[in-house]
Amino acid sequence: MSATNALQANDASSRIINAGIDLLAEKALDEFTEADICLRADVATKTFHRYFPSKEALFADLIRDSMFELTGDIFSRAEERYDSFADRLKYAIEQIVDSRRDYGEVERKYYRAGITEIASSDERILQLYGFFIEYFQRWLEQGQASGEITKNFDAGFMAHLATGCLLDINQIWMNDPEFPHLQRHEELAVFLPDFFAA
Amino acid sequence: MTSALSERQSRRVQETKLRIVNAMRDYLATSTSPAITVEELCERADVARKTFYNHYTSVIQLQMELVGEFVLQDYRCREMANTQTGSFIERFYAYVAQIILQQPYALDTYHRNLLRIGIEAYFQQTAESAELIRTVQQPFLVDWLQQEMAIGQWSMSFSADTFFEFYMGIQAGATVHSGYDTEYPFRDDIFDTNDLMQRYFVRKQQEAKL
Repeated sequence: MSATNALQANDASSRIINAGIDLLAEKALDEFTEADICLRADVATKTFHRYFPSKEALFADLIRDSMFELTGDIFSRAEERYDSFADRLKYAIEQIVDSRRDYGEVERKYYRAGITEIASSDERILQLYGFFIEYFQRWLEQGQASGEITKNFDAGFMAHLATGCLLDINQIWMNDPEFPHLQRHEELAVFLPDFFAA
Repeated sequence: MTSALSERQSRRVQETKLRIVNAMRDYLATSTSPAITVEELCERADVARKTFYNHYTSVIQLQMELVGEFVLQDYRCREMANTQTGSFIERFYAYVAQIILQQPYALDTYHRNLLRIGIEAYFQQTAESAELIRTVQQPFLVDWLQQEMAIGQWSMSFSADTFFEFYMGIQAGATVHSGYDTEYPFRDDIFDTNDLMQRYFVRKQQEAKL
């Protein structure tokens, strides 16, 4: 692919994404079709399908990026800077909360659309979960070694419980705009180290 | 004569429905994944596609009915624990004891599949599944905790409602763990989760007394 072609391709996919977000800002997910997105993005349906199998997949890709890239950066920074489970979690949650302060209705809606799509297959649910579990399990194992975290339970099992809590907060917020999700995140950073304390 | 016939007919309708339900149970008890098409299910139940749609709108609807049965067990356990008097911790112990008594089967492929159906429904959270959590799960725990906090038996920096949200998250995590990790002993997860909870409750109670 030539440089110009690559540029055009990139342009088309970002136009599609922007059109999708715009439409979601105006309507509910089931009130518009792929054709509506194509019309607004000024691309052919065929072009749309080159990038995304469905409109749901578009939103799933969006949140996968923000979840895995942004959150991935945050978690690896937390691991570099701090040694204890409590400090790492506190830092990670502070950063997540900061990145979400400006979130409004549109972000909430595309998160919801994306998660629904992700939940449509077992494999993807595990991918979503696996990302958090990998970090938490390592942090908890190191915490067990240093005497911070209880050794009565398997670190992998506790990592699942921690992940469940984190995703549950998002889950409730996605369905309830009034839910104080940022506050709950902050409280979770206090609760989890205490809950798993040795 | 007519009524006898209609009685016989209605019995046959019930039998057909039961055949569909049993075919689904059999499938979930042996399959490694809960996914099945209407065609495949109808073939197993030996009924026509049309017959299936006389009873259900989708495979998921039937599966969710089976999940509902499972959830109801948990509800009954809590209700029985709630008839006990005593502190929050005592009632929580009673609840766990009920689970152990009532769910000795909680090991098999069938229940693992039900959990996975439940997890998918949880992620695709509909108004109904949110309502189920609010009406079935919330009242017990929040009530118990509030009573405990009111008499100063508890040391915690957040409200009963907040704790409930965390508790739901912990349950969700344990469910995913036991639903997808086929190597992990399913029953141990339920016990471990409750064990961890009880230790936490006891510790918080001790902290309040100091």
